[in-house]
Amino acid sequence: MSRQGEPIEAIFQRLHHGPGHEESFRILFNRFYWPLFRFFEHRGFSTEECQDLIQETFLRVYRGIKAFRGEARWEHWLFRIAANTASKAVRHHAAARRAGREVPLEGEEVVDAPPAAAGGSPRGAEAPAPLRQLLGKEMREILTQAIAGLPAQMRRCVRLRVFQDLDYDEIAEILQISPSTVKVQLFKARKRLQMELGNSFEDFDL
Amino acid sequence: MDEKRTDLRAALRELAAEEAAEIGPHAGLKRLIAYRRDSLSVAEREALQEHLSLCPKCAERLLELRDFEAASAQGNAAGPESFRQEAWESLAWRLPWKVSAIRPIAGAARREVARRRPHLAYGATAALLLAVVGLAVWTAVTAQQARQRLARLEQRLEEREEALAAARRSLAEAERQLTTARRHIQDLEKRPEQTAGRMAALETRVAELTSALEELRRTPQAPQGRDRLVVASQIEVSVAPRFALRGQEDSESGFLRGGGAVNHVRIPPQADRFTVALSLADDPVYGEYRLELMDRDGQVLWTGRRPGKALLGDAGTSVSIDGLRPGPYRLRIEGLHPDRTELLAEYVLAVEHQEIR
Repeated sequence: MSRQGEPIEAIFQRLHHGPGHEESFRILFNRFYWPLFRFFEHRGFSTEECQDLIQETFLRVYRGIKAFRGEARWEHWLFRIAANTASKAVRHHAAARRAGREVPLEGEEVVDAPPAAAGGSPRGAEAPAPLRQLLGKEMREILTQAIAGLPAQMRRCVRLRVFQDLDYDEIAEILQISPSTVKVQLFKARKRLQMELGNSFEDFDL
Repeated sequence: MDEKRTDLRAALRELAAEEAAEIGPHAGLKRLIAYRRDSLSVAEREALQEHLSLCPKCAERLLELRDFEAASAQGNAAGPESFRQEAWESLAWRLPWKVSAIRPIAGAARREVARRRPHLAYGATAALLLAVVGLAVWTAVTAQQARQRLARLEQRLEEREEALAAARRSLAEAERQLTTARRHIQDLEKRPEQTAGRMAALETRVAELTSALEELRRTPQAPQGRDRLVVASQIEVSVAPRFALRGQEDSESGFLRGGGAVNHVRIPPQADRFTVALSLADDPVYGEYRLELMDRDGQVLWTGRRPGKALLGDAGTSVSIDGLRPGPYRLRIEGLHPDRTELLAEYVLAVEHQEIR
């Protein structure tokens, strides 16, 4: 399609005012079909469910497009609609089917439930209960002080690395810093923790 | 010393999990998007980063948002076109514009009836007519949609069939290669036996030749029969020294053949002088060689001595005998040591007249 590469703003202009309403909507659909498909697929939906959810998302887009004035970026607006569509679908599906999956069971906007109550980490986070058996009171105190003593960014890097099992690139994306900075921060954290906790802990590989 | 063994990573996870239980509600997409757009205040940004470090779910959402942005920026990600086509067909069917051609007509008919009440009958008729027309249009649209959907499904079916055929072809090729590989393996499994059989045959042959060699060494004399020539064992086994008979047109007789083989020597009919040019094919191992030409009865017709180096290569010697007639002869070659004489070879020569063309 010749208009496939045109700016989103131009497509929206035509959707709001110009002729070729259906064609513009088709271009929009074509352009964002696969990003949406990957998004729903990543949330654990089957191919058929992805197809349905994409349709549902674009139906919502169609209904709400008149109200969209471009305050937000189009992609972000679409992403929110897609995320809410996914949440709604989860609510309406049998909970058992995705009991083990990382799909939110909270409301359309992820605002209310605390993380621990909502199912914990998708990757490396562990439930608190068995961990309490690992650390004694004194050890916990020593560790808490050592972690609290780290600079904020360094501490966050450590948590994202150890608690959430993220790689350097992902940590960099989340903290909006470069991967090399993440690497340096973790290296320094390792040295500091080893110096402070070397008598009480082992395996300082971060 | 037990505490020394506490694993730091496990302890950090434990601590973070405890902290995560107390961090409050999730960030929400609006905040995450604002964070991505860099539109939060410094304090909000710090707070959100702290939350993200302890909240796997919000961190995951943020990475999802990042992935979605990246995928959107890249344009159309690769995937089966039929998926997208099918989704669009279904969506287009559900979008309002598909029925917009009908609804206004029905609405207009109702308004017309209300406005022109005296002509209710006409209005009702018109409304009914319009409804029928609308129904017909709707049916036509439905049929068209169904046809399009059917065409899409057929296209998908065709794509799947092609993919299936390609997979079958790949499978057939893989099976063929597997069969070939199995055959090779079987061949390889058989080969040791073949090799062993060949080795056994060769060993038997070597034993036979060794035995014959020993026999010949015990009886190094001339053969018993007329046409049979017993050749010195050294010639047979080591193939050295070999003597070449030059001047022969037949390439096969470029070398004198031993073992009782007849070496044909052709001379012109009027010739009464025959020259045999002899040269060693290998380096001489004896200082001097003695050459003897005998007739079929063993009578020496000619004898002579030649130094070993004189027999080498093209500079070999020649034996000239006058009055030589067609018939069988034997050429004996001996190597001369200071203390002994060793028979090296006896060759059978069949002297024949050359045909005149």
